[in-house]
Amino acid sequence: MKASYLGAMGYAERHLFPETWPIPPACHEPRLSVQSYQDGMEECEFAEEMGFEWVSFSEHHYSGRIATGNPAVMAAAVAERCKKVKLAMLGPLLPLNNPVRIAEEMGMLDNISDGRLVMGFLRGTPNEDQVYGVNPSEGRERLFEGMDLIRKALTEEQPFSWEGRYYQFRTVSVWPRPVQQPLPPCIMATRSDDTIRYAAENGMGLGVSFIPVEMMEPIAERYVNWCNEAGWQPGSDDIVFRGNIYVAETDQDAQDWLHTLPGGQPRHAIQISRSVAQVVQAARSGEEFDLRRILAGSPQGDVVGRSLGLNFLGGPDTVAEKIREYHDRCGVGVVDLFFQQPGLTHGEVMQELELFGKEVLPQIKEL
Amino acid sequence: MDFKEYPVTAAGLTLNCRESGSGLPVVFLESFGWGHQPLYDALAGQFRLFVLELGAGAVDTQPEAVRQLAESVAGESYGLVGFSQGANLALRTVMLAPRDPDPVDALVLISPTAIRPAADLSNLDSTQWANRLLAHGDRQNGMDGLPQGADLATLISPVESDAGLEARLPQVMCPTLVAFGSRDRMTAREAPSTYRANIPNCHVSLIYDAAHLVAAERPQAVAGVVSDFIENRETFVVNRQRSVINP
Repeated sequence: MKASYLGAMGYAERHLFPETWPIPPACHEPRLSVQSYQDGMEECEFAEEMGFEWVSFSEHHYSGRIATGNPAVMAAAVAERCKKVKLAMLGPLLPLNNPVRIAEEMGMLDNISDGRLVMGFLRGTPNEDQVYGVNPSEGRERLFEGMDLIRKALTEEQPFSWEGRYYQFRTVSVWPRPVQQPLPPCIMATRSDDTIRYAAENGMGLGVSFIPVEMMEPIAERYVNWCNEAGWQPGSDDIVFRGNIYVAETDQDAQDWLHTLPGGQPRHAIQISRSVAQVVQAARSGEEFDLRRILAGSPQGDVVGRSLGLNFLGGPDTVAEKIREYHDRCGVGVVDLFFQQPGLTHGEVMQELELFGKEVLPQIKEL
Repeated sequence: MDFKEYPVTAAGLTLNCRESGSGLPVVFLESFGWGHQPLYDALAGQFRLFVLELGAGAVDTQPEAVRQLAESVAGESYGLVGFSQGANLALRTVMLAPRDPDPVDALVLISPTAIRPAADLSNLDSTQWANRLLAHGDRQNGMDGLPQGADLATLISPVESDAGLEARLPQVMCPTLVAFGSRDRMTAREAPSTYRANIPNCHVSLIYDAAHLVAAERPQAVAGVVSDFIENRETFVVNRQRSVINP
């Protein structure tokens, strides 16, 4: 089993952010931001030194909690710092982006890193739908078309034009081609059956984030069954779980830290206006909705957002056991870990990485 | 659109011709017309469209006869479009001895199977044919009237691969668009790029989420790119749509 470090590049004072999204740019202090990126890249280097085999990057917008609006930029910087780890783009929010541009970024990253790229695609959280003005009801279809286009763009030998439902490009001729032929490993980050099936039918891995093991188990089972139906067996790197982690010297230390947090939980919530959340959700699911009723039921300042919670909390043995459970019950071969919990300093994250590398990783590596 | 029908004869070949629209003449070689009416309607809205019904005879039709028929209905200058075996015939037609000026302004090959046909097309049952020809062949609705079994195989199966044809692709001098469904499985994966690499002025268009029967599955998309190409030829790559939101 492999460990992956989520290169979130969180802004040092993210724990002081307001709870609602988007975070105002006024919260940004340039020198602190510069240092935060340096700290984040140092964490990636140290993770590699401690035995992590992947570093992952994720696209999130308008907030410094995960400060990688363009994950390709971040991956390119880390590729120069880390010379062994896989660079896992988990990943671009495909419905929001120009797929040809994503294909070009993927091609460049695989060349810059000499074939260490793992490609991942996902739709994104509801708040992200607001970023580039994409209609939430079209996100799913844009995701499917974008993936097909990217795979064609990275494998076709000659220029072509693309007549899609959402994308039309009359000249596509992506350069450079990936080093890994015909394609770098691809992972679909999803929990939806239609996208899981797409992943299975197209030889792609599965990425699942932040849910308890008992919720992930049936998802992984369906994925494996559909892979088998499609005539292939997923390998150890094909099922990835991303989770929040806090590892301390002992279980008690971990609990003590938790109790120092406001509300006894790290604040991961991305809170947005209740009415906006309801409209996005309805649009995503294709449901009819009564806008007047939604607006009437959402007084000014009413916000919603779910707390993601910690998937792995405790001393090294407890954390290792919990990770083992994802492996044994769900077939997870790569655990992608979000260490930068709100309120933790760079120094504390480095201490955690060392502890994880010395006491947890040896326990899960042989799985 | 209303189409008028009449027989046309040239070089001993008589075909049924359906005509509609006005503007630049476009000759469509139809070997298999299932699901094509929306495409024809769209093309007839922009061009003077002549659909020459070849049916299963497309395989044996002589290119010279097609050229004479096309010129007899469309005149000295026209766009030539073909689908599947009709596209193969269109390709062989423009490979005839060059003329100056070339009467074919623009050549459009939709799902041609002339080169690199798929190797595993024998003994397919109806379900397998549906899955092979349509990106969503598992959806039973919308397949009414699709020929079955041997009829389908006769109309759609590529003929024995003509190895010499691929070598002669550089002879095609007219601007050429080759359109394939992004999920076409009637030809080998490298077929589109083979056309693009060997025909001097060739563009390949991939029609997303369609298989071989691309015009039946995505008629607007096919009509859009075919019309743009016939109208603008190689400059169809230039987007001239305005994107101003609030001037």
